[in-house]
Amino acid sequence: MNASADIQTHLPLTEVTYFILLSLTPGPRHGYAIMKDVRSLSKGRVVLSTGTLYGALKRLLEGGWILRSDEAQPNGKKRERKTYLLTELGRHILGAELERLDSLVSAAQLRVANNAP
Amino acid sequence: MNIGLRLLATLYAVLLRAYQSTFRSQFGDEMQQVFNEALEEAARQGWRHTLLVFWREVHDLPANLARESRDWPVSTEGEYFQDSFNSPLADQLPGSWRSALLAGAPHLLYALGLFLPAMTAEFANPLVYWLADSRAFWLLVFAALLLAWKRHWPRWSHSWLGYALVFILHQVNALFPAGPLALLILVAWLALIVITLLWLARRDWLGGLLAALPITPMWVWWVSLEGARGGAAENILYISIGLLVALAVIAIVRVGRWQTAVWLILAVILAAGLPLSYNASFFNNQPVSYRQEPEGWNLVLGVVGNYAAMLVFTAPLWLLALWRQVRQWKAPI
Repeated sequence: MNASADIQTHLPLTEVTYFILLSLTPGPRHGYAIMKDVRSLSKGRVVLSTGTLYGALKRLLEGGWILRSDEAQPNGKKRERKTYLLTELGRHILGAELERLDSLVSAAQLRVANNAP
Repeated sequence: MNIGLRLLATLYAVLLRAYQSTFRSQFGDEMQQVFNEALEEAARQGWRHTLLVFWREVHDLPANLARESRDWPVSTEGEYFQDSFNSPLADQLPGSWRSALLAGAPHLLYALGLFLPAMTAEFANPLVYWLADSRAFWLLVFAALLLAWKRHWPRWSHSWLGYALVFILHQVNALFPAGPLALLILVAWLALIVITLLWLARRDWLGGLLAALPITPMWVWWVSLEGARGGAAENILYISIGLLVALAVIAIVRVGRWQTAVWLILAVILAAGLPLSYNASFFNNQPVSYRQEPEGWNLVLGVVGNYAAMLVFTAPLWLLALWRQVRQWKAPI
C-alpha cells in the first residue's frame, strides 16, 4: 500500500480531530489555546471539555499525527506547560481531508449551479 | 481563585480519578491546569458560565471514559499492551504461571466454596445458601476486579469478570424471582452477556473466552441446585469439574494460543457438560430420595437444552474465531 492510500484510510476525520489539527496548523499550541481556538474556528459549535480534548490528543500522539513538547519561555527556561505541534504525517492527513471536503463541496456546487432556475 | 472556583477545581480533581491511572499520569496535571484556566476565564463572564464549564466535564465524562476504556489495550501481564484482534500475533503470547494460576483460581474456589460445605451439611434453601454462604467468594471476585482495574485488566482478570456477570444475574434474579419482569431481566442479561463477550473478545479473544467460561458451568450448576442437594458423589463430581475447568484455564493462559484454547474448551465442555446436563435433567425440585432417573425425551431435552444454552453464551466467541480463521485462509502468502 503506498503512502497516499495509507492516508486515505484515516479519512474522513471526526469533527474534533479535524478542528484540533486545523488549530495546530499555524504552529504549536498548548491545551487551553487549542480548546479556545476550536471553539472560535467552529463559531462556537464545537466546545470541547478537557476530557474530550485530551482523549483526542492522546490518540493523535499515538498515531504520530502530533508531537508534544515543553513550551519554551522567552528567557529559554522551560516550564511545566506542554504544547502540541503538527507532524508531517498530521499535516498530510489534514491536507487530504481538506481535499476530500473540497471535492464534496465542488460536486455540490456544480450540481446546484446546473439545477439553478 | 475564590472558594467556589476552588471547590469546582477540587470536584474536577475527583472526576479525574475516574480515568485510568496511565492516562491520568500522562495528562492529569495538564487537564487540571487547563480546567482551572477555563474556570477562571468563565468566572469573569459570570457564575452561569462557570457552572457550564463544570457541567460540560460531567456531561462528557461517561462518553470519554467509555472511549478511553475501549481504546485501552488489554494487557497479558499488566505491562504488555495489545489490541489482539487486530494483531494476528497478539493473543498468541504465553502468560506467566502467576497469571495462569490467577485465571484458574476462581473456578476451583467457586466449586470448593459451593460444594465442599454441601458435603458436610444439608441446605434446605439453596437460594439462601447461595446468597449468604458464598459472600466471601463474591467479595473475593470484586476485590480481584478492583485489582484488575488498577492493573489495566490483565488477561487473568477475565475469569473473575465472568463470575461477576453471573453474580449480577443472581442478585437480580433473587429480587425478581418470577413473573414477566424476571423473564425480561433474563433476556436483558443474555443480551448483556453476548455484547460484553463480543466486546471483550474483540480486544482479546482469549480474554473473552476466559470471561465466558464461568457462565456455562455456573448456569448448569445453578439449574442443578434448584432443589435438594445431591450426595457426596455428586458434590465430588462438581468439584472435579471445577478443577478440570481451572486446569484447562491454566493451560490456556500458559500456552497462549487461541487454537489450543478452542480444542481445550471443547474438550472441557464435552467432558463436563455430559454429566452436568444429565444431572440437571433430574426432577430437581424434590429431595434426593424422590428424584427420578431421566428417561427418553426428558434426558435428550435436558442434555440438548444445556448444550444449547452453552452455545448461546459462547456464540460470539466461536463466530469471532471462525471469522479470524477465514481471514487467515484468505490472507495472501
